[in-house]
Amino acid sequence: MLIGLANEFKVKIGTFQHILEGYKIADEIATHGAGGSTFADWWAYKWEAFDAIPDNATMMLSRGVVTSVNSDSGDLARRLNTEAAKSTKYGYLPAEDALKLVTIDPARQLHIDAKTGSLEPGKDADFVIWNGNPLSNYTSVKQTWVDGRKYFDRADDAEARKTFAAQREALIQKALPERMKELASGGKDGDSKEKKPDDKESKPPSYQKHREHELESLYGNGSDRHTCTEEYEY
Amino acid sequence: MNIRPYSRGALSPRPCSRRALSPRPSSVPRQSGAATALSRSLLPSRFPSFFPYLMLLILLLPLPRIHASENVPARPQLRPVALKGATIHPVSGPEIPSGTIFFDKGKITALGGDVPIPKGTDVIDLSGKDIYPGFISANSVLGLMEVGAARATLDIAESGPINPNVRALTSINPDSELIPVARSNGILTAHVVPEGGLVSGQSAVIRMDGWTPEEMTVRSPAAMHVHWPDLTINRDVRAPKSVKDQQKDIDKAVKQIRESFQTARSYWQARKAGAPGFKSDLRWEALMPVFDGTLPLFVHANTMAQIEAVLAWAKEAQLKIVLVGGQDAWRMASQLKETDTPVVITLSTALPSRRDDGYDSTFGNAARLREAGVRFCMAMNGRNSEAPHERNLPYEASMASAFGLPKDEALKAVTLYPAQILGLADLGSLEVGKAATLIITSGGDPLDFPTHVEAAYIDGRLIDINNRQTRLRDKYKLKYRRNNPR
Repeated sequence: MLIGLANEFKVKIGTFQHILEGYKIADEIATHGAGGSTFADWWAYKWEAFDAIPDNATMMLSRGVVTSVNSDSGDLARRLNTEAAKSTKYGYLPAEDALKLVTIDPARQLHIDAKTGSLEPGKDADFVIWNGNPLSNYTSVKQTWVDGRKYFDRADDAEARKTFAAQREALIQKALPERMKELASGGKDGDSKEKKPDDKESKPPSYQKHREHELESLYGNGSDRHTCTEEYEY
Repeated sequence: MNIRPYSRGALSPRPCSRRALSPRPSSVPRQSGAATALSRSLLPSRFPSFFPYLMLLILLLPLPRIHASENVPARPQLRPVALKGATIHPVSGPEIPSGTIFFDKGKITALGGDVPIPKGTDVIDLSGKDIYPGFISANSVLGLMEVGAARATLDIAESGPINPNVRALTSINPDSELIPVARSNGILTAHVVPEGGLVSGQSAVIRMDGWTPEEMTVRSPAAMHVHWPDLTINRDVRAPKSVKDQQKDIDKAVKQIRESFQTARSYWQARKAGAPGFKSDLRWEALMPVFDGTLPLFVHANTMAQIEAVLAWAKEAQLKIVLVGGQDAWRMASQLKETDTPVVITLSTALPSRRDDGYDSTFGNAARLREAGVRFCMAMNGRNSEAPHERNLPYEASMASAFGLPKDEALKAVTLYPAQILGLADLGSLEVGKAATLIITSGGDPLDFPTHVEAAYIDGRLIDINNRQTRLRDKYKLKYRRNNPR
């Protein structure tokens, strides 16, 4: 229906998101020229997803739809390599094509394939070093590079954790006497802090509290935005 | 793009005009996809007298691949079966290359490199294939729900906090579409756990094939389940309840659990002593086998605070427990080892629970518990959101393997260990005397992509490994074959 509407108004749909039933109308999607970005094997979480099948990506692909595999689960989204691998299982997709579902094909859908999505001279140096076949569940990431800079290294990460643990422990020890004093003076489990806002005079208006909460730091390093865009040296 | 054509093997449907002419033997479970060739070779054990006729039909006529019927439960094993030539992975012992597994009346009667095969046995050559015991899902709501967001299809929780008398078996739907999907990937046994409230009720262990809940039952009741209350306090200013009220709710819930078990213990003692004026109460009656030690007690808890509270309570109430969940269990491995508390690890691919945890804290849970000598198995998270994804259980195990768990332990974590923790002496490994509940894979490790489960036996019965999704797949492949094939 949406394709019909888009055709009527001469609008081109870029990519259908989720498109769990794309396998049912893959020809229509392909004729319109839209892509499809789907889940690997999620289904039955709601009625509209009861007909979702794990062959969806492969079937759309075989009818000429530019297809990618995604996930909006924070847990699965970080393991798209194995989400793509599910197409080799259910759809009997060759490994190279399965890998494309999470590399060049989504790049094409996002129109960033000139910059990333494959390793070619002239493209951004965005790549991963795996310790084995990325379509195997036994494989893990050794290093991640973005724009030619190393953002993750499993060995370095393991080392850094030791340092962080020591720093954390030192900070706790430093803060502990203060906390013990607070507990001794009758405040319990943060209640002493809670009391102030209960006091009508000092209570900030609720909209301000909401605003403050929204501006709270989102990341562990104290900043409220990720640092990938900032220039800094290691 | 180089896509392999969908029609695999000689059985791809031919032009549709002939389909109407082809007779459809209604009792034959038709398998399709990669399983076809294999299943065909497995058929004689079930339809000996029709076999030649059937073979002729399959080879000469285009069998419809669209399944009009639902998955039909298999018949009991009629004749002894010998699976020959495959690599057998008994799990409890070393693998047997090119071995034979022989089973009769649902039980494995011989297993090894060279097994004498009596007359009247259906011998099936499986060279190049691998045989493993079926996976056991140790924490699921399979059969209790259909569609997560459709409340009317959920029967996973009774209302009220204290329901020890509730039995999950009563609400299991043998026709659930979720069951065949899970078993297509080798999940042949499931522990079906009631959710909700605090003392949530009694679980059941089912085989994933059968006409009625009773026929599917491996054991019911299998365990009593307590869901420990969430002890986390939401300190967000926008939280609907104040910190104080939240604490009050938590204290009340913990008190309810404690008092229920105290009352039940008194009831049990009074009942045993034949106290005068004794009034029966179904709730406390249901808890009696827990005190007798005949019904295991499974307590669901994930955070460190919860696990600490659970261990303290178990000690106080003198109860032996199995911990389910245990996202933070690795932080308390020594206490769990000391108290010999087995852990059914769930959430092993979830995001870390704390901001300062390593990205792999959940992946590494199993390996750490194993290093500490804690008994464990791996399972999905239970709950309605997980039931459709039970088929991914083997991948939880291999993920743990990528983060420190040895491969053979990962396999045990979804076969032998759940059987041991659930007390299923009959299941979990391939041994003489155990149930012939096994999977045949395409020659490879079933804990990894892209290995396919090509066939499965439950208690010696060849089961239909198709499901609603393979039927939809075949239906729409047919659509594309009709419309101008590309």
